[in-house]
Amino acid sequence: MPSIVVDNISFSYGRGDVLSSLSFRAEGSCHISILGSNGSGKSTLVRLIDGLLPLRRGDILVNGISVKDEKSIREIRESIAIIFQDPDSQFVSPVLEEDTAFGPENYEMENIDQIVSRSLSAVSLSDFRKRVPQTLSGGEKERAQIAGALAVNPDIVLLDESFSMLDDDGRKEMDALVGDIWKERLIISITHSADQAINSDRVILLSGGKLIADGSPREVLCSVSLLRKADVRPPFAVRVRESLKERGISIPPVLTTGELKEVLWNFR
Amino acid sequence: MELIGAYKPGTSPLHRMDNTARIVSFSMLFAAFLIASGSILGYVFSVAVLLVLYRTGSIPIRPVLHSMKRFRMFFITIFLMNAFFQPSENPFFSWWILTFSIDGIMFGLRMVLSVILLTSLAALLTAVATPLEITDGLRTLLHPLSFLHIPVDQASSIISIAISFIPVLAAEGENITLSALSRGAFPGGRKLKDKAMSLIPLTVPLFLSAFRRADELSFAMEARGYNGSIKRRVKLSFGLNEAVSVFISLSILIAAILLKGVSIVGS
Amino acid sequence: MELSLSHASLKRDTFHLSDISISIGAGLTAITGKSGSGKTTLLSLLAGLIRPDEGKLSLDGKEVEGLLPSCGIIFQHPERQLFASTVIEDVSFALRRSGLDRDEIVSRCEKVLSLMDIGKEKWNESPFFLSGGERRRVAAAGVLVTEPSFLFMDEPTVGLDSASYERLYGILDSYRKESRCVVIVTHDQEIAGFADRVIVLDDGRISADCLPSDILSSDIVRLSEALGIERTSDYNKLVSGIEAFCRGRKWN
Repeated sequence: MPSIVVDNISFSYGRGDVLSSLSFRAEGSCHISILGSNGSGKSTLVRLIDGLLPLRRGDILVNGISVKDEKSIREIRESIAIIFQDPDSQFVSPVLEEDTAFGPENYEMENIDQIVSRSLSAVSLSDFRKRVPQTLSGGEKERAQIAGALAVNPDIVLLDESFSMLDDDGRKEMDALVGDIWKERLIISITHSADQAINSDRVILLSGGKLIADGSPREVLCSVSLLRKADVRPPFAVRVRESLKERGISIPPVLTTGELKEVLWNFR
Repeated sequence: MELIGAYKPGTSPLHRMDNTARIVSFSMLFAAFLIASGSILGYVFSVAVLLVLYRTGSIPIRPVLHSMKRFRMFFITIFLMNAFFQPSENPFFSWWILTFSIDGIMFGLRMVLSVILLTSLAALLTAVATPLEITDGLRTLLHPLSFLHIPVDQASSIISIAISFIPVLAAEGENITLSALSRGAFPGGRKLKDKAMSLIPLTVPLFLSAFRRADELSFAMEARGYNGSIKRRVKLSFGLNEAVSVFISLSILIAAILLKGVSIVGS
Repeated sequence: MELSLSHASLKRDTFHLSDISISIGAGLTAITGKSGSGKTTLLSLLAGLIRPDEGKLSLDGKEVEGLLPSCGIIFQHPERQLFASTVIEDVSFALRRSGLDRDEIVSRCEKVLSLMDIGKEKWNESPFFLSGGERRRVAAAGVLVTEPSFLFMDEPTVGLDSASYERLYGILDSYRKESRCVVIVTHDQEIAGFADRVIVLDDGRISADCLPSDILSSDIVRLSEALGIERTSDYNKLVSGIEAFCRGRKWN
């Protein structure tokens, strides 16, 4: 069972703390959203979890292993796959199938050819295997990233604002694909959009490097005051409810547009 | 105006060849051309081979020769340098270190012809293979050197990645340029220093962008388990096509050597 | 004030634009369409930054040679274009070539930096030491400081935090009130819904050019339809409509 334990970590790049006394645990197969605006430290957190940045204050345990343990960092990275934000900055080879094979080769996995074929076909990119990845379309590039992540068979998947370069339809497609491929794993999505966090199992809200909320989407995303503090735009339905409240109309808390519609129809 | 040897996508046998076999074949052809130059027969042979190769690759040769016109000063210089410094038994005239003779003229012409032949061959290679394919072919070919602890794989990976970043940075450069233009940048100024300074709105962001991407890429690579030593699997797809072309190139090389032998014996 | 592109065509490796004819006037125009459909290039064409292969750009009937006068363009990731040693130097860059006197330049920069919520203490710092969001605002400030009659924006809402989103709304609103011309490429349904007009680009051609409420299928539009109130794509109008709806219900 995959697990991440973040224990009272703080981190600075040299000019003030970017993360401050942060703690939380994540276990098992679920989908967690880490929500926050620019500068809330969320991308730094991703890099710390994978041991890409040196952690000096506090500790992070991935599947029980500390990220500070240099000898075991490889084991940690083997169980984590990260998809960063800009696909153009992540391709390591000018041939797609080689890029997909990069992870498995580094971890000396067996039957790499088979793994690569399966990964590419899972994202419907088999016909593109000899293409130069940078010449693919936006959506295809993201799928290429997913193939590369799939190939290493991770327990934990970190999505660092991964699909933010796509339009709404593209992003929904990617979210569905990810949810489908890795439904038994621990998925952590970093995002600045509350609307995107609605469908996760749990939402952790960061503001100025501190954790200010940790709970179900309903608990966290319906609270306008918390979201305002984090400089995150509330989901559509929540905003409408707030706007109506300002005009003297009071309706019960709602999270999705569907719920909003129901509530309004039944308004008395 | 096309660049000599700009890549033309296609499906000819030369395009479809395995990258390494292609480099091996062309290397042998270069050697063949070098060896064959020296006799008239050798030149005729080389020209014939060149034309057949261009035909095989479905690349038109006229534009290539046509664009060489731009370099006529270069060819004239080569001609003159060789024509005037060739020692000879019966020169037209001789003055100081310069000797002008029929031998010199012939030699000069042969030099120019050799340069044209070799350049055309190189242009064909770059026309049928992208820089990445060429780098890939070189990498596999030089792979054995890595056993001598020469970082061949790393070097070629670096080159490949750098090449694949070119269009990405170019696109970003375009945006940055348009952006700066819209803010009134780049009228330049008269002095060289002013002109250079006026490029700062372009160069600073581009450098930063390149560094940023390099940073992001290094994170991505580390996250995927890269630990400094690339043990890339060497994949050669060596089929009938490749065997045939290497065989043909080898034959051409041998023929060139034989021709050379014949012309030496003959004279 | 009318900007017209007539029969413009452009061909590139990854996309093409065919026979585009648009007239843009004062107010807010949104351009939507699939990623990679050439929307950004269309903006560059309208601003006179690039020339079409065919067709021409004219302003009030006269052909535009070179850059469109009094225009500002904010591309995606504007923070990537920063280059100067201090914030104020970067923001004032465009003005320093315009012949305005120093005091006027300083006052305009101060005005726009305050609008963008960049504190005074940061004005003499290097823009590269600011946070991501601040850098983005400084870059946008560098364009807005010229107070352009034509403002072009490419996907301004991507990655935007809440306060900046509201600020964007404010800027669009005030530009509209000042009868300037704003053209935004966006896939954000709310911003597009806020526009006076939506142009849809599909496969290199204009497939629709109409009111936002006619074409968009955002949450706002669908909710207004579902409740039976006046169909709208504008958030504020929706809320007003719902308010009336609720009060109507209460009194029945």
